[in-house]
Amino acid sequence: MSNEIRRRPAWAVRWSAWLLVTIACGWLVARATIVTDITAFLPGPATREQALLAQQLRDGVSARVMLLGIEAGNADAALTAAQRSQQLAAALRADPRFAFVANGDPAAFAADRDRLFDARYLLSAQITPQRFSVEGLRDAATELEALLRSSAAPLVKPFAARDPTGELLAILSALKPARAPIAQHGVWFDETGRTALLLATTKAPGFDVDAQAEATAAVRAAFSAVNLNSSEPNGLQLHLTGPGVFAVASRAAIQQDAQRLTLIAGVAVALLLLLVLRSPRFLLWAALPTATGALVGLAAVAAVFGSIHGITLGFGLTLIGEAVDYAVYVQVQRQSENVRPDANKPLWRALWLAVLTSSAGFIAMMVSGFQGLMQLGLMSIAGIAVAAIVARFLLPDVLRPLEPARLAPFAPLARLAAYAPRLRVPIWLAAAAAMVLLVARGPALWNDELAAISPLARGSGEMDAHLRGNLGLGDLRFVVAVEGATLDEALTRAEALEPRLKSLQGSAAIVGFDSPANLVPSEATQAARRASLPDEAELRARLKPAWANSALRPEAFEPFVADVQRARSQRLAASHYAGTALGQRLAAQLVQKDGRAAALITLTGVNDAAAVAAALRSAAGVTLIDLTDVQTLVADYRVHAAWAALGGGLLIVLILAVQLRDARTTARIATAVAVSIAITAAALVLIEGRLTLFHLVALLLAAGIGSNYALFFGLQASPSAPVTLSVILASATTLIAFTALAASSTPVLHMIGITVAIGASVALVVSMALAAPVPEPEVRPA
Amino acid sequence: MNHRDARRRFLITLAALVCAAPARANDDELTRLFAELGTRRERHARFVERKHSALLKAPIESSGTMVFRSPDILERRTVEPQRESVRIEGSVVTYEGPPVRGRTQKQTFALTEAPLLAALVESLRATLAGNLAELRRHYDVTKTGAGQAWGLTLIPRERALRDTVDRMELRGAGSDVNEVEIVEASGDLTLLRIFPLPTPAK
Repeated sequence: MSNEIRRRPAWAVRWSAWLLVTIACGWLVARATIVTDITAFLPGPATREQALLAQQLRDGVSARVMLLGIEAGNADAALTAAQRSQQLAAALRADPRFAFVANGDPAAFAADRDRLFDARYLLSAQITPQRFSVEGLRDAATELEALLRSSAAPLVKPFAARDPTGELLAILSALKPARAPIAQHGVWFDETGRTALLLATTKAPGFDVDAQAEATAAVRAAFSAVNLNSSEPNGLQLHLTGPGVFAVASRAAIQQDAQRLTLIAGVAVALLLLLVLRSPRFLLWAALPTATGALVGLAAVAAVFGSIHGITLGFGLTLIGEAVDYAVYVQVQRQSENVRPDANKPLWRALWLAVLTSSAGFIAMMVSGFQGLMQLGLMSIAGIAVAAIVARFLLPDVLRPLEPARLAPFAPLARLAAYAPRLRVPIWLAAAAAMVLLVARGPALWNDELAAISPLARGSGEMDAHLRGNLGLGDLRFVVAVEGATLDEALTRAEALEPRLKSLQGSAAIVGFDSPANLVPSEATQAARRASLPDEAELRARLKPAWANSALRPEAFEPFVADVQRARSQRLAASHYAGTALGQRLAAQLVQKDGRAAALITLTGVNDAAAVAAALRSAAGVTLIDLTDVQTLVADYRVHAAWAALGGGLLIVLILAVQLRDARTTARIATAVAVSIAITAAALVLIEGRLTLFHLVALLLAAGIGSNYALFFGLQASPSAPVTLSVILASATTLIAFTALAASSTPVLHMIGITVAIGASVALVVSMALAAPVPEPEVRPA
Repeated sequence: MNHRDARRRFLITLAALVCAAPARANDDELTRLFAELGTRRERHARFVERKHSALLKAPIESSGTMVFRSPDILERRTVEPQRESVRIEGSVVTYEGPPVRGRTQKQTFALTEAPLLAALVESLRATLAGNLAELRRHYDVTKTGAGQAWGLTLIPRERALRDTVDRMELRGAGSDVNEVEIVEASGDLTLLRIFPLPTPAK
């Protein structure tokens, strides 16, 4: 038969095309890197504060800090803990993943101290013309003499010949943290004297969870390596905390949760399909559109964006809930094909429209401008389209019509569609109530305190608080950004801020602050200090009368005269500290970008944030950044997503209007989707209290699924049993899959799960009631 | 500096090779001496310290009292020329200086922050406690003298410390330590003379 001859090559062409696409996409996905930097999901900076906050969340020291404790079982083992602290610090200092490691060992500070000593005449606040007058030098001699006589002589002597005025001590005491940890056996310890403390900063940003996982593993490996070398078991225990460590742990928890729940949902959906259709063959093939869709979606993201974000991967896979439906539709429709070959025409049309309308919401996400949302949108559109193509063109080749008897027991279900219109009045009442509830809540509807967005806001735990407290770090929540057109302007402003910060310290509003201007004074300050230094001849001339009556031997202080002379032409820049721990600190504290510069002052132990904000309010170019205050960021993101959703909704209506060229059908279908979303949102508010960003994004997915149901019912002239059954079956699988997710203790998974589970159920009922054509009043009552 | 260092090392090695047998005897004597030193749990003394330094026109002197409690508390109260005290317990130093601009100066820091001070403390404290093993962690120890009067020469093992401290000479009799002399790499010299006092009744 000619028909047979024509179909065979078409069959071969279709499957070859599938194979080629699958191989190509598989290759793309296999090569793609998975990134986990969550800042891809943060909005582009709308305001200066947001830009600074986003930058700090990304690169700030606070997000990269790792706190380590080596706990000894008893006080006797403390010495061993101290030795391990030294060995671990040495190992981590040699590890390129760490920018900075401190354990309180003064020897490790030697390089930094040398740089400070070298620049002492530009750094010390004591440098004034008076300091180098005959009078000032006489006072200095008296002080030095007293120090040399005292028991503190060993501390002073090594530097005395070059630094008789004691500038190094002045600089060190100005830089000394307000709350330094207790030193014992040469390293930091907590107040119990049993836990040696270390502080490490990773090179990778705190949000780069993969890099943080590597760094965390490196610390644990280094500790086991140094501790296993010891001859006897010593019961030492390593504690590790910090934002990166939490990010790693929470991602592991999400992954575990997601895998477990996906497995449960998969088995439950498979059992349901098996129970209803009793066809293992169907079950096998049903995975085809889903898997192909997911693969192509990921490949599209990899090709366009160069990498795949972890969240795209996770969220994208929940599209399975929608793609599985296509297989169900095709299978159920095969039933009627044999009876009437053209019976499925409206159904294929519904399928294509479903793909178009689902995509509309995601197209809106693609133009939102957020890289994260764009990835989600692209993944979803490509995935849905390909799943539908595979379902439409490949599945009919392999799915065989089931014996009608198998579906017979479920026939009564189909009659539900006929009963549904009776629910119209209650549904309209529910929708009205929902709208009233949503409008009445107003802005209180939203919860933008998304702990998941900021690693600093994550539950920090007792050990973290203990280590932070003992290291004198506080929570490192607040950073003062001082901006300027040039780095020097920023530093000048930072210096001007110092008196205010000191007075905040005096009133105990803050415990301490750490300003980069202490390490790199502004040009003006440096120039003033240089101008305070007399030239060689003048200094010698002044030293003679100044030290005449002291016990000091002026000839021994020639190195001092030489150093002062050198300092008169010295200029200090951040590069002076290159390669030291101080250099690392400065790199994080001095930011230059897009022709602007910022000096970042870290505040420790903020007891009264309101007082700090008040004190800094009027200062030029100064912004107080609360690193846990991601609410404005999240709120902005959420508003964008809401506009995207609204745009998507309008696009859906437009597509329907153009495709159907029937205002009444379009209105029916659009109304059904809108009413479902309103009722779902209100139900979520009642159950969850307030809605978050993730609820909103999940509502988009629910709207896509709901529009499918509305189309399948809306495009039927009258309720047909196979269609009703397929939609009910599809919504049952969706309900099962997402209810499993809703049971998750991980907030993100729970929010997506509960939103889609409620949305799909509501959409099923509403679509049957509102989307289907209004039956004539005299139609037989079933 | 390095040259001198190398030469000194060479001489010590040579001496060790030549006197291999006496070295064992020296070891036994050291063990005996430290056992005797370790019998004293608490010591009180008056001290006079004299510092010679290139920075100073003339040597300067200070004096006061010292207390040692086994194993690791060392306290020194200077009376002349200015009142101050240093208390070292374990590795924590508490320094209380003379009032500067009307304010008493008290600060606490780790011994490791001041290598020179650490050298003095570790050598004296380990010797007073009779802890030879601890002393040998930081110094190469040789004993001179015979009978009641003895002398100890300590040479720092750590390179960083050797850069500042050339050697230390301790002299004593029986279980008493009478003199500590610190010779710095720069040639500066500190001589601490200790005059034992009876332990006050509690």
